[in-house]
Amino acid sequence: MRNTSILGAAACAAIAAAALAGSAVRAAAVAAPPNPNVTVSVTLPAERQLFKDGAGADLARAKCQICHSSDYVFTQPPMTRAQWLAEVTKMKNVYGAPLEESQLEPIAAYLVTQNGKE
Amino acid sequence: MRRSSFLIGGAAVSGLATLSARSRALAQETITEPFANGARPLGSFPQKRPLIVLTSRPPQLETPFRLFNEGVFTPNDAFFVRWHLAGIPTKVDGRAFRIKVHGLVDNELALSIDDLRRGFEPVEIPAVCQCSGNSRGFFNPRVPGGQWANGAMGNARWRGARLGDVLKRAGVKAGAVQVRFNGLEMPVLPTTPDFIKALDMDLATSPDVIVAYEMNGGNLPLLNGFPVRLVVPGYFATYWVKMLDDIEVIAAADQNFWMKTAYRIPAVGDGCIQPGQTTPTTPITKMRVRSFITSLADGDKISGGRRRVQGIAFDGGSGIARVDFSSDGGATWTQAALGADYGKYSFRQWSVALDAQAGRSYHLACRATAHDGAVQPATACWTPGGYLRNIIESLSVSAG
Repeated sequence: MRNTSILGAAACAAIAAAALAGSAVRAAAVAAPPNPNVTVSVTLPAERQLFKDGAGADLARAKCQICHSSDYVFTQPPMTRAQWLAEVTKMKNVYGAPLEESQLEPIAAYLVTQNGKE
Repeated sequence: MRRSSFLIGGAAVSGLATLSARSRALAQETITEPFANGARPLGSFPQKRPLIVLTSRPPQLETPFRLFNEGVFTPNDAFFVRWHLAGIPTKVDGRAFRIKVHGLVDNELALSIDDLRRGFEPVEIPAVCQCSGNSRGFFNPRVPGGQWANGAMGNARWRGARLGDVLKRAGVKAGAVQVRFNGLEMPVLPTTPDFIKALDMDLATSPDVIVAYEMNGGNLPLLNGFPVRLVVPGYFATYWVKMLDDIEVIAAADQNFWMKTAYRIPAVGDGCIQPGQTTPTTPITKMRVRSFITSLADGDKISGGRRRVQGIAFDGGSGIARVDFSSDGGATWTQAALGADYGKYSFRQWSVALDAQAGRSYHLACRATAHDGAVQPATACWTPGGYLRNIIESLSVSAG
């Protein structure tokens, strides 16, 4: 809960109770009384940088991580160069990633070095 | 069902050792799902106990499977999280929040949460919320997408106002075909399609579809859509739009990316096809009948003697009629006892006695039958999107 900042007495009470219980599992039983007239403010944890240095790393970091964390790549099954090229092309054509045509192959080649197969 | 093994400091441990080690080594804990690239850290996200981190931005968090054995309802702080776009507000003022109702209506509305709570009859519905891609990691051959194991689902008591009542207040005009839903989730880039979903008019006005402002008697966690989300019982979670602030009645079927291109299944037969086959597609709709053993995991060592094996079952809204259990890999089946009935959209717990003899191994399986007659299949459904898995799940244990 260290990353959480919640305004609202009810939510604070729930978190205090969870802390007293001293167990993440116990916290489950404590639900804040419903009071939606509060402002909920949270801080999301920092993402892990998983792209390792290498040819294409700067491009992948600059482009892929505009929209999503690098773990999107590493939790996929290992993929071939053709499969990664299809994914990168989808990011450009479907999700509107600002990629030049000439950048598709280099990123795909880099992703194969990160999570690839023959 | 295959076991998720737990790795702490590189060493695999299991069972009670895992639980006691958890509190000491939470920060380093990794769960490894039984498929390639299945290693996942547990992470601390706001208003959540440690959950399996599939991706951190936007957050996609999975419920560790053993938690489904703790009760029929999934606690809010253990409920899975799935966002599509990284533009998620991290600060939401519930008092200032308004839901705009517009489009083909007589009266445009801007409803506060208090308007929803006080101006409409409250309805509470226990219902399973399951990601369309739940269990995608088990597909063979694998398909790209969120590589979930079986924990991208949860069961909660949702309380809110009927969407149909809200639409009645606005007054739907003739010619209405669908209702379209948008929430505060925004793309990072203007070139990325905003996350928008639509329901046909008859479904949108059916009595069980609600705009929910409570989850298990409390506020929704921000990551589950505070202060309101759409709840479409029986349907996959893709329609359960979070931080719902825009309801639009439209005159033609929605053509947005998330309806027209994404979240679609083959429009042939039962939707399951051979890898490589291409077919017309149709939007994914209702969930398929599933069941899981929750009290044991694959590879567990158990003691000899009589023990209770328990699990859960659910379907797309007809309710669970029966669950059968096998301890011999499906050669013979015994009918399990069903637990309390929380309604046709809820998890239904089940249990059965297993007489384990020391020195023997058991291949356990469970098979649910829904009231609409659907039965879990013995072979896996394959779809290009990694949707609709509902094979009979099995696991092996040995008695010592």
